[in-house]
Amino acid sequence: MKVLLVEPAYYTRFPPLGLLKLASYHRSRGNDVRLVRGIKEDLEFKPDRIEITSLFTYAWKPVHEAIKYYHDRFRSSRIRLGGIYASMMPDRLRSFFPFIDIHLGLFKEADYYLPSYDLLDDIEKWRGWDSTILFTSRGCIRNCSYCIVPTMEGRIRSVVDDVERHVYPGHKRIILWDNNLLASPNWRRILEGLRDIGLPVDFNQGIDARLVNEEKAQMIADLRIRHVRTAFDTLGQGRAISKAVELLSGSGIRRRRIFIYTLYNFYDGESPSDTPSTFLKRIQEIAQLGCVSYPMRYEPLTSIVKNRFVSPSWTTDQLEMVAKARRVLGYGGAFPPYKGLVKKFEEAQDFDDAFSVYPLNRDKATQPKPRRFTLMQTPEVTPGTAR
Amino acid sequence: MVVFTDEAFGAKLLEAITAGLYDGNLNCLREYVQNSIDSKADRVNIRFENNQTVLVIEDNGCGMDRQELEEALHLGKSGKPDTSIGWRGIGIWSGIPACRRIVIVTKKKSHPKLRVEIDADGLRQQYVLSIPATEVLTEVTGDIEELEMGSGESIQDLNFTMIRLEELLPNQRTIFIEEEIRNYLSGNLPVPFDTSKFTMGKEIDKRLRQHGVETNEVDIFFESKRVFRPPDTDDIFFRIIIEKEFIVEDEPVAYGWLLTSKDNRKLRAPNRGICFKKKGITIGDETLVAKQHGGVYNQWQYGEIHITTDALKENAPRNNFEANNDIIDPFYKQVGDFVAQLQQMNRYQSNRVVRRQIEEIRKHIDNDEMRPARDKVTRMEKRLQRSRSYPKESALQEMKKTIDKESRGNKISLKALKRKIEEKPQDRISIRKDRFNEFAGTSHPLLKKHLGKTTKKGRMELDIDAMDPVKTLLKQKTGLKLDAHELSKRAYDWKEIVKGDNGPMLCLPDECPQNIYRGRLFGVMIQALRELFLNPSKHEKGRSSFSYYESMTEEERIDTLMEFHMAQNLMLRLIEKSKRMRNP
Repeated sequence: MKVLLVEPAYYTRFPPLGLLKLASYHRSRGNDVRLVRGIKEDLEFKPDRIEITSLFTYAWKPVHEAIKYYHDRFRSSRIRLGGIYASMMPDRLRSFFPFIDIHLGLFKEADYYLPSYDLLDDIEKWRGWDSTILFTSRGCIRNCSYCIVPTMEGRIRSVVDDVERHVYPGHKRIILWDNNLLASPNWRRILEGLRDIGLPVDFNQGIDARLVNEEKAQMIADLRIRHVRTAFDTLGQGRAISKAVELLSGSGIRRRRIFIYTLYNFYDGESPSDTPSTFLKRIQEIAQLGCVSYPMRYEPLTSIVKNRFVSPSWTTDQLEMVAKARRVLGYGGAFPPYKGLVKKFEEAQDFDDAFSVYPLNRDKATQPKPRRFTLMQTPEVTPGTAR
Repeated sequence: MVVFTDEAFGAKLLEAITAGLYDGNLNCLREYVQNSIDSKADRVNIRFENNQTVLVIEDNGCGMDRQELEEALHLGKSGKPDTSIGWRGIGIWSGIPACRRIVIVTKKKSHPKLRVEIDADGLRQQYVLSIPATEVLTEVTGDIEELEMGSGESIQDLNFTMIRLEELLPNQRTIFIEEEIRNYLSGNLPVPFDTSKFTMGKEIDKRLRQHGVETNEVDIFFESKRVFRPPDTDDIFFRIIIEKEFIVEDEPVAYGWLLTSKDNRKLRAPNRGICFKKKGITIGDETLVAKQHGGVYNQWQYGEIHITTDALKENAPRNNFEANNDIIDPFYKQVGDFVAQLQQMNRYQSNRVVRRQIEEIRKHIDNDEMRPARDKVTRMEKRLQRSRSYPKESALQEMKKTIDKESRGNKISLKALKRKIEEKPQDRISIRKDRFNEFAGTSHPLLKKHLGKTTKKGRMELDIDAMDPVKTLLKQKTGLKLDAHELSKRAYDWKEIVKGDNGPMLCLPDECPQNIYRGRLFGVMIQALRELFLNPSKHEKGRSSFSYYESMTEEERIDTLMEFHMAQNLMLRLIEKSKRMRNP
């Protein structure tokens, strides 16, 4: 049987792990597998089955385009949809495409296969990919209402304990996608395994600051890890965060290498815990700790358009201010503990004071403009070039 | 009576028949290919998948239905007749030590496509437990599932079996590498000869057929490249096939063919020596044949000894034959005797045939190197005159004629070459070389010994230790262990060379000091000669002070070299005559 696997052409930084596992699953049944990204017109392959994945709900458009294109092209092939969008909004999908099959949640039968990373060589975007992506556990002990994991994966359980055997030959980096590694029953074995392999590691989903203790901090510091990511979502977590930062930095991780995600614009229908002022409070605390804060705008689980939702506690202007501050004051969307920036946040009276970008600009405006050319250099002006 | 139940067979038994038996190496490939041949496949594709993490063995054999698949999984209960290649019924489990899962996908004509998965990881983990083997097997073997068919696949006509060793273990990745697998397949499995590279393959195939040898040839492709069996070369010394039939108690048990390689060095994999084959599959390796002869056997022959009798059964790991029959001992004895005679033949051949050396002599003549050419001719003539006995084995008699014929031809060629050497006018260089050698022969014993070493291969160069004989003699005479410079000082009592009044009027090619007293002068002379020609710290190619020597023509250089050694010779004789004045 011939199976076509389709990754719709949405923006993402990671290759479609699910499809790669599905590819191994199909190969294990003797099926001929092909992987494509987006619409591939010069495809010489007549699939019996087409399996399309999906990502965030707001990235639905490329998914619909892929379904439409491949359905039109291969009328007799059965199409099956999976992934987050398909699992979260199957009815919406069905209303557009009543002929498709939809798989909800994880596909357990394929989960334990080694992903067919070799297929990535066929795709321009992923050629040369050299990192092993790994779930050593599925699910989470928490039940955060803004998170999809409790719905998709359920309670925490370990799925891999011998990391060393899951590293793909030739790969140079390991990316863990565990939702909450430190809560996994065999976190110790995993961290030991990662240390023994000696490859650079990234805990992409971050670690739960509330679960960091001295031993874990030391084991994390023993890894080849560039950034330690964690999250500071509500003010109540302040003590846990500062304790985790103390432990990690005590184990030898520089504070500038600790990234702390800060959720904002969050609203779950109850009393608002996230407001501009509590957000500022969190940013201030992180700046004081000397760590990097990375604001994350809340998006409802079934949002169809990105960045449209506004919490009752926030205004559009305030959200825009955060976005602008991240662009103008921050670096790469984050607020690193630059001296001036820490000072600005510390001295800020209120939210507007902290996130307004004008004072800084006004300072610059009063300075004399740097001259563009010295006398020795005559500018070469080519006709038609605006200077 | 002791009654055996399921409980009596512990899981440790499984280790013995998987890891223990097949050694966790490439032998599992043979097991799977055998199964393919038994299922009447004529083509087997072996390939890697997913960056060599999965090994797939796929054949176009008849495939299995549900019942046959179930039976195939049973242990030690092969439903195949004894005449099949695989008959023990454990082959399917041989991949257990290599991977995490063994997957079998199979389809028989007019039957559904089936799949079953064996959890090799789970099985290996349970080796250590003392639970019944049957329980473990049941647990690690998945259910047989029916697979969906694609639109291009026909339920009536499609038949195949695919074995997948999935997620090869990291520690196996050094074994399951392309080159190793290719060598293994070509050396052990019933693949045909590559007659484009080994042209005698056709003739051998014909003779094998004539002798009723069952080779079960199958087309094996590895990573889409066809696999052939060795030898894959035409470098054969005599294009004569030695045939040998092994007969035990009037019954033919084996038929062998041999060819002598051109390369008179021990043959190495993949083009190795003589192997036993049964039904096309190699039993053991080339050493199994060679070691039946207790003495030395230089492996110069390619060959196969095909077992033609069913009475000789291979053991389960197929590295030898079972010993529980009356044939094996007499058969092995015959093989041993035969190998001994082969060795005798090889020695006879190396005495009688000097084909390669004749080529070398020709080369020498072309390069005007008459002396080594002449030496070699003399040596080879002597060699050809020596007598040597030839083995009595009847299978080798035809070879004797060929060797003798070649030998006669060699003798004639040598004579012709000798004439050519004598006719060739001696050139100036070889005249000089001869003169040099003549001088060397009559020189001081120490110098003679030294030159014997340094000019052994006709090399005429100023050597870094050219003054060693002088040094050695001075050491002997004085009883001191010093360097040459210090020795000449102490022996002839000179200290330093003082500057003259007005500076030199002449200058040697290299700077050279002068001094007075007769006795001391001699000491200084020793030092001067050494300094001039080979001060070790300065004796480097391309240094300006030696350029006068290096820019000479070869003739001049040989002359200079001889003159230098003559001067040295004079010194040696004078040192020899020097009287001892005092003790150090």
